Amino acid sequence: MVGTSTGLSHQDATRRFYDLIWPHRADVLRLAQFMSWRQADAEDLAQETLFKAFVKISSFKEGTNVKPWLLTILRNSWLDRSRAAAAHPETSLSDLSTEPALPEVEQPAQWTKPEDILNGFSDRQVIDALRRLPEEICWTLLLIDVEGLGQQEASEVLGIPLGTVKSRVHRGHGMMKVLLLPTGRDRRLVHE
Amino acid sequence: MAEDILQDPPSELDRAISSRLAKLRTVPVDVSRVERAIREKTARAPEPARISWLRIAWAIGGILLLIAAILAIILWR
Repeated sequence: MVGTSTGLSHQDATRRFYDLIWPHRADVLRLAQFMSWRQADAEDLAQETLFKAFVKISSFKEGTNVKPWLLTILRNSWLDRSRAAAAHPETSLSDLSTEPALPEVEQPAQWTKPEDILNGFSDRQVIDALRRLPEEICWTLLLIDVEGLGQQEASEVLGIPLGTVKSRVHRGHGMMKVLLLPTGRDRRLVHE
Repeated sequence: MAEDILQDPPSELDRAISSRLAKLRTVPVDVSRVERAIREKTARAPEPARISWLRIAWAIGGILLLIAAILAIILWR
C-alpha cells in the first residue's frame, strides 16, 4: 500500500494532484510514447510517473513550475526502467539503449526554405528520426523543442550543465537534419 | 571553437527544426487507460499522514501519562 509521502491529508493531496498534475497527463503519455517502442510500455511509464507524482505531491513547492518537476519524475522513472532492461536484456526495452546508425551524407544538400521542407515530413517520420538520436540528445530535444522547457529548466531535469544542454541542442538539430535527409530526398523535399 | 558554436544565434534550419518538433506537442494521444488506472490508484491510497500524526499523539500522551505516574509515586513517598 502506498500513500502520499508527508504532511497532506489524502483529500488535500488528491485535490492538489488533480489541480496541478492532471492537466499534464497527456504530455506525460506523449513523451513516454516518444521514448518507448511499445504502447503498453509507454502507458506503464506514464502511469508510474503520474502515481509517483501523486505520492510525492507534498514535496512540490507551490508557486514553482510544475512541468519540470513532473518531467524529472518521468525521466527518472524512464532511467530506472532502462537500467532494469539493461540488467535483464530479454525484455523488449533493451532496444532503447541502442545507438543509432546515422546515415552518411555524401553530398551537401540544399535546405532552402527549411521550414517548408520540414513541414512536408509527417509526424511519424519526425518521431522516427527523434527515436534514432542518442538517448540523451533525444531527451534534450524532447524537453526543449517539444515540451517548450527553457534551457535552464532542461538542465535541471537532466542534471547537466547549461552548456551541455546548448551543445546537445546544436548537435541534435544537426543529427535530425542528417536523419531526415534520405526521406527528404525520396520525397523530393531536399535537392542536391 | 565549440563555444563559438554555442554562442552563435540559431540558424534558420535550427529554428525550423525547433518549430517542427514543437508541432509534435499536438500529436493526439489516448489517455483513457492511464486515466482509469490513476483514478483507481489515487482513490485506493490510504491516509498515512493522518495515521502517523495519530500515532505520534498517542505516543506523546503515553509518555506524559508515564511521567505523571512516576511523579505521583515520588511525591506520594
